[in-house]
Amino acid sequence: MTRQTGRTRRPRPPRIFLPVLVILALAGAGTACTSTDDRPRVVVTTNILGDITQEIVGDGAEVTVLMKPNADPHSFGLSAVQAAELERADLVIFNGLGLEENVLRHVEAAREAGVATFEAGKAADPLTFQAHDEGGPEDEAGQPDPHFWTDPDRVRKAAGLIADQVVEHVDGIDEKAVRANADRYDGQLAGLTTWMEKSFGRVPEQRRALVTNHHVFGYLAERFGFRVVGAVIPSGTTLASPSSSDLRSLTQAMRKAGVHTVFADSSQPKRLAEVLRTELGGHVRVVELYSESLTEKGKGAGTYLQMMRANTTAMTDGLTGA
Amino acid sequence: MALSVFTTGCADQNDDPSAPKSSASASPPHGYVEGAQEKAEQQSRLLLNDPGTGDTRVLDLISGKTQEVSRRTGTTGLTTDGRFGYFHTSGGLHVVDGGAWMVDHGDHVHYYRAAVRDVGRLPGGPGTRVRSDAAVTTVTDEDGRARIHRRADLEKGRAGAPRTLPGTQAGVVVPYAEHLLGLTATGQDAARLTVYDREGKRVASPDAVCEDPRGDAVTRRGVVLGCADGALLVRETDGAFTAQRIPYGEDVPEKERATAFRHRPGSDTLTAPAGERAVWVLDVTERTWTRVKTGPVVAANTAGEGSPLIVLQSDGSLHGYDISTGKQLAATKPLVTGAPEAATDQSAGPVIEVDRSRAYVNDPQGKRVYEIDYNDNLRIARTFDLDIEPALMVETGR
Repeated sequence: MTRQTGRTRRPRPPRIFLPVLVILALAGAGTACTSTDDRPRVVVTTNILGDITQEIVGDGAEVTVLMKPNADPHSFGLSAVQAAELERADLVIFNGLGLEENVLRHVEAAREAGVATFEAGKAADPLTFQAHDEGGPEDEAGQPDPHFWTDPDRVRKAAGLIADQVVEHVDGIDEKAVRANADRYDGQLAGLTTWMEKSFGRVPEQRRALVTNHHVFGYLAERFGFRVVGAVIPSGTTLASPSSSDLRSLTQAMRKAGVHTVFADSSQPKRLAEVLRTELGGHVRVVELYSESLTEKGKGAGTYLQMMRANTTAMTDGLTGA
Repeated sequence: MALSVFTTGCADQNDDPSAPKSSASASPPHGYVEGAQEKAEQQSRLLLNDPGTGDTRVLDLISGKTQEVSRRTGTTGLTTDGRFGYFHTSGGLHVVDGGAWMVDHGDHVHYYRAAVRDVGRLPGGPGTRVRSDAAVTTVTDEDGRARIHRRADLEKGRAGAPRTLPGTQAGVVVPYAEHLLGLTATGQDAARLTVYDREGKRVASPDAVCEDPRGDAVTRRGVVLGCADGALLVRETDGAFTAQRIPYGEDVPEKERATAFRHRPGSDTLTAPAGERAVWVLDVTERTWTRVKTGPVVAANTAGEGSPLIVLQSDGSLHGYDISTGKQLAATKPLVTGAPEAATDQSAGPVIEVDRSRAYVNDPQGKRVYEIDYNDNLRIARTFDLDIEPALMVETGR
């Protein structure tokens, strides 16, 4: 197989031969192809960026997303097939800022092979991690925070830049169609921001605190005026029969924030709420949020817009006691 | 030419979740382990065995549920490397995959859980010692012969064919820093430190000897080997090995020297009985020995990092001591039934297993295991009632 970069595309064979070629191919290879190699190809690392890119590209090019639904962007890796695919792309879009630690070298290899690459996080005016009192990524304080997608305004900016990249690097794509898609999606993102502002407007100022072990909501907090209070969430054997000191990080964070809602993933959320209620008195909620990955389609956060709406609703309800 | 485009098959497998994983993958997904689930939390389990009946159980400390596994009779000891349980019998070592382990990638850790399964038997009679790192497991028998087994075999559920290390060992062979540390008998009183690569070839070793080697532990700051006059600390930095003595600094009668170290895996604070009424605490970071006076010692351990020294005394009660002052901080009522005695090479005794948040103590005659919150005045967090006498116990998942 000859490796080809986006710069030297093979000309399309005349249409009339296509059926013949497909029949020959099926007879010879025994594997049916869902994609034909002569369509331009955009490869995206994370599934959140994958969804955004798909909205902009439409059906003008093949969009391949490397990270599966419900995966962890910090630790997913590539198969040899995927790594090779990266080097045959017309354009590679990645989050960057250190998020995809195991994929970066493949992106780098693709760049060296002459593939156009775009680091969305870097282009979206990144914040740096703040040092948390507890439970935050302390050793990362001062490092750029890669989780820019929790701020929809930054996603608007990134989406506009992705459209520019697609127009520039994907040969033969219909620029008009891409711009139309980008405009339509930009409108949806603007609508999302407005809706989020309105939703969060129901949360009184003094309750705008996210007690969490997730390190991904710094951008959202900055955009919509929330405080992020990091906490260590007791788990596993500690949760079975906790002492006050096992819960101290979390109960102190909640007292300080003046809230009775914790936004955390727990293998035993009911149990966690129960022990916190015993410790603090009053009703305690443990709310799970979507943080770093989309779900399968139809499972709550199949698209970026769904993920943001679901999280906004969960935060608003959790903090207003709805 | 155009045809080759189609006959290479489709590279785009992402839309098909049922597509088989490419076995020829150049880089399998980070942390991916076949047949295991990655978990966000440590998956702690206890392996428990009753030598009298052979009954063996796995207690899942997260769910509190107990699982029966195949019987192991005639066990004289049970050890672990954090994942596999090694059941010592006169007929060899029976290996059980406890199905819970962690992989340390330095700046982050992955936790896994999988099914418990029998791996098989490794040769080795009484007095055999087993030590492991991520790649190899060494089995050193009483005659000083050491064999190197590949972890990959054990992880696939088979014993595999070991490689024999040349020479006669005076102590245990410890895998460390992609090498193996041994103490070779010299015919003199003292054994000489020898470093091997994983293939069993000798490499440059620091010039160090250890008289009457007994007891060993791997810490983040190097390997501690117990010697007649104290400890030998062997470290690796940038591929070079150094050895440093940590003497007791006083005359220690032979029956009061440290011969068996216990610690929390990953901790740099070691404990060992110091005769019958005291415990040695070796701070590997500070390179200091502290002798804490206690009641009659059956077992001891500590989580280190400011947590108390936990001592099981012969009346069956647990006592907590401040390591720096030697002051007693807490004591429980008698927990372990009967008059427990310290374990020896020939007989099982209660042990204290310690992890990051809890300690576990087995009560064989009471058919129980206690979970102790050592940072809360030795509070009994949970009591697990069992249908066997758990004379042997190890904690896995770390």
